[in-house]
Amino acid sequence: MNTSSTFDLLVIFTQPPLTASFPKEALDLALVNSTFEQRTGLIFLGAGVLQLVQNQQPNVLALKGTQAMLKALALYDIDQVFVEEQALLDYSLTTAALLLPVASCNTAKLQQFIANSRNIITF
Amino acid sequence: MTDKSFVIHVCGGPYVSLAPLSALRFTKAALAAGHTIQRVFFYQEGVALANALSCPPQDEINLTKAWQAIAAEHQLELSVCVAAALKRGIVDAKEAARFGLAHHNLAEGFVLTGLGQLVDGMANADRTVTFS
Amino acid sequence: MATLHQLNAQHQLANCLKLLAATDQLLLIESAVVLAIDANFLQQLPSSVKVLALSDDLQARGLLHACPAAISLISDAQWVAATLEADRVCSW
Repeated sequence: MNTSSTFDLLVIFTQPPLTASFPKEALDLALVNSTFEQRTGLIFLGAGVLQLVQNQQPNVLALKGTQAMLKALALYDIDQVFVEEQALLDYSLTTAALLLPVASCNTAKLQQFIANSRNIITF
Repeated sequence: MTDKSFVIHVCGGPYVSLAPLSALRFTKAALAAGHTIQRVFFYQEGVALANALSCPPQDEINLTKAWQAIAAEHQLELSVCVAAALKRGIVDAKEAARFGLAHHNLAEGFVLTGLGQLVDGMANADRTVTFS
Repeated sequence: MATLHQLNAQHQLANCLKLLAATDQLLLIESAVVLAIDANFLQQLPSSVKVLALSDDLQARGLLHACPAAISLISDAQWVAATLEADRVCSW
């Protein structure tokens, strides 16, 4: 087993909130991965950053959303959360306006995370 | 190249994607090259492949049966995420009893498991390949 | 530490390109093989990126002979080998 990787699993979120079951099932995998003491990193890419917007009200559509799960990430020892810098600019967002503490990274930095991960799954 | 082990992660469903077919092609090619398939894990829409009640037209490939055949021939584990399966109406006898359902439809050769099986597989296999 | 990016649909190309490093490889499978004959495709990639496409996926769509020489056609057996030659696979 390669133990030199930064992350055992890097989960990449590319879909806006409430896109079918993608956000929920991506987070389920990240949480289980961390529960198994595997180092877990998250990247929110493109429209995926919108999953981190505050004040989502999925209940108006009788949906549950993923805000509670996202806020609970730290309880599962997942604190390596990255967002694409350009995506924040595209959607006029700042890291301070997001649901949880994240690091904003340019694509060169994100490519380094890819190169230092053992497995990657995109949702 | 020395023999390696793979986890095949199928998260695209039949009829909404080509994931189950592409994963089958890849699995056949990997086995033919002498590699090991440690586990096939079905997640998201991929769980629909484990529906024993799907009846494709006679002149179309039956992907459920194709996976059952290759699994039987090579003793492959076909793991299906239980949480993803239950909400999509794929249940085995045990879950049907637990939820008071009149029927169960998990195809023979498939087994309902947890996401831990995918995590365990990824941690131990040489390579994990996702089909979405 | 090269990554094999396995792309199966055109709509994820933009996201894939963001995380595609100059030393990585890009494999076109399923519907994404149509990019092989898209005149605007290759110029979007770093010139150092090796582009592969599944031969059977092109042939099935009637595009095999239109595929430019800059794209390497591979069999399913070579596909398996490519996933092992890379350090990891990232499916889009």
